[in-house]
Amino acid sequence: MDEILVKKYYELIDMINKKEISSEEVYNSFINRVESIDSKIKAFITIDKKREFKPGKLSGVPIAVKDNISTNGLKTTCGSKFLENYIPPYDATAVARLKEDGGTIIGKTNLDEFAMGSSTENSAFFTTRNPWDLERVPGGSSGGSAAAVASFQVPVALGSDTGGSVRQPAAFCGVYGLKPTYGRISRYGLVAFASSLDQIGIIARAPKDIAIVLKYIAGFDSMDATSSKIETEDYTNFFNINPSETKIAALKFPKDSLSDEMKNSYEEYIEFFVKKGFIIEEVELKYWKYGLFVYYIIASSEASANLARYDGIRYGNRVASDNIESLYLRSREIGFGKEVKRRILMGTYSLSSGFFDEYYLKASKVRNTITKEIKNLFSNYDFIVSPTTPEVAFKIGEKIDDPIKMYYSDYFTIPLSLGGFPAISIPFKKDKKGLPIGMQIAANHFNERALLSLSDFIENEIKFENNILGGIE
Amino acid sequence: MKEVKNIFKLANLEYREDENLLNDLENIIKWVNILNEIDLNLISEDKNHKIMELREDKIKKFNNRNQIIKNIPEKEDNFFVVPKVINNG
Repeated sequence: MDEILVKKYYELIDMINKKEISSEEVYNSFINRVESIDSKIKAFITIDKKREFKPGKLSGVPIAVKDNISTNGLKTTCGSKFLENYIPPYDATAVARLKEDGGTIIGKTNLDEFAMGSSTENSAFFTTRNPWDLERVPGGSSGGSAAAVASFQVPVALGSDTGGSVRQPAAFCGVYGLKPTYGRISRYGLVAFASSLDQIGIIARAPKDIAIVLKYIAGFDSMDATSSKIETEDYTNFFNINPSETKIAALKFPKDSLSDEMKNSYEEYIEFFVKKGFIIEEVELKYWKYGLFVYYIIASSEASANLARYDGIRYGNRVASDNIESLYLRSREIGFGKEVKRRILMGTYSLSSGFFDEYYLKASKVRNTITKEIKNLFSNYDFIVSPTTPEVAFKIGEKIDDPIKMYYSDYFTIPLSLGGFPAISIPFKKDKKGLPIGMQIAANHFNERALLSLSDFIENEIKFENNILGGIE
Repeated sequence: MKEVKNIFKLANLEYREDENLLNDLENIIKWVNILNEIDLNLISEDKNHKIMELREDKIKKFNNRNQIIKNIPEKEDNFFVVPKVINNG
């Protein structure tokens, strides 16, 4: 059984298509794995009991899907009490495109409510555990997806990334996590949080696996007005990386933005590129540090508008009442958790009359400045590198009572989201306690193929080892 | 804090005085005020916003009406039931 579990997505697809193994055998191995260990990890909210295999190239190899991505006929809760029993009447475009060629959704993974959070502790149902240390968070908001991949319950998973929600949990769980360019993957069926930032992302244990999934789901969709018409590429066809012709900007950060261990690892990361003969230079960006504040104004503003639809009338939680106002208020009071309320209030404040110029408008201007500053770097460099997170996975409960402390988890990922740039977190090494450390690579808009090629180059050099297959007890 | 009460109202959320929510909100607003140190005159105005393309407004058939109806929390003969919203004369 273990031999199947450790295989990469592309290897399993290949074996099935060569008839070396059957779809059922592959699927059953993973279902057994889920049944035997997920009570400890708690990555999944729902497992699809139907077990149907549609014919196609991807048939039988399980994919996990974050529970804010709509799946026809399969509960999609967004980690919220409000949608506890909600069953979408359609598939998200990303899901539909996988299913067209046999893609098999095994289940839906846990997240912070409506993708708002960095630890899955904001899930209305339970907190997912980090497979490397069950006392620690898996990161968030796509913590269930990252934990499921890291603990060999699935080879790949879909997540969503608004400010770092794919990359940060990927870093905490020692796996790869790609947030593509804004507009590369249709958002149709991804439950909206902050529409100008939301993007479906992919989590896997190899860059090649991410490339395969991206190849299936990327591309224009008439159902998403923000999806791009720029041609997709064969993302699995990696470029040859020639270090002496590859220019990298290593971002410089204030000393207090990183734990000591992270600081040392980042130096090692830079040293790796130097040793391999890349052209790498340290660069300081003036406006990067404002990204966090800009993000919490813009994302909250958009969230306050997007979440206005949850009123208890057409679907979701409803608290019966004899007048309409109290029906809205009671349904939302009972249906939403703390963090969601905080962000709705923050967003409503930023957009309200008298404060709009000072908050939302100002944040939008700074956002443009941050975007331009990053874009300018790409006229001189092919890639930008940085750590993914300020520190390794923290303990459950450590930051949950201090929202601002929690917000700093996304310091390195947010500015790239504000600019719509593609970025990936790669597992780089382990710290003294054996916890994974993730490093980030970003590229110019629509350069996912280059991003994955460099990730693959690094994987082949450092060979990060995930040795937790038998270790979760 | 009249202003704060109004924010709750606009957000369609129940106002409760005792909640830490108020404190959190105040702290977050203070925290983002760091943006005030940026001189807006120094940053350029121009926006890289792409203008969203419009598409033709075509009717498309949706074939899973049943599931939509199943999701209605309170219904009668496939209609949404809501409390009375019009006051008596």
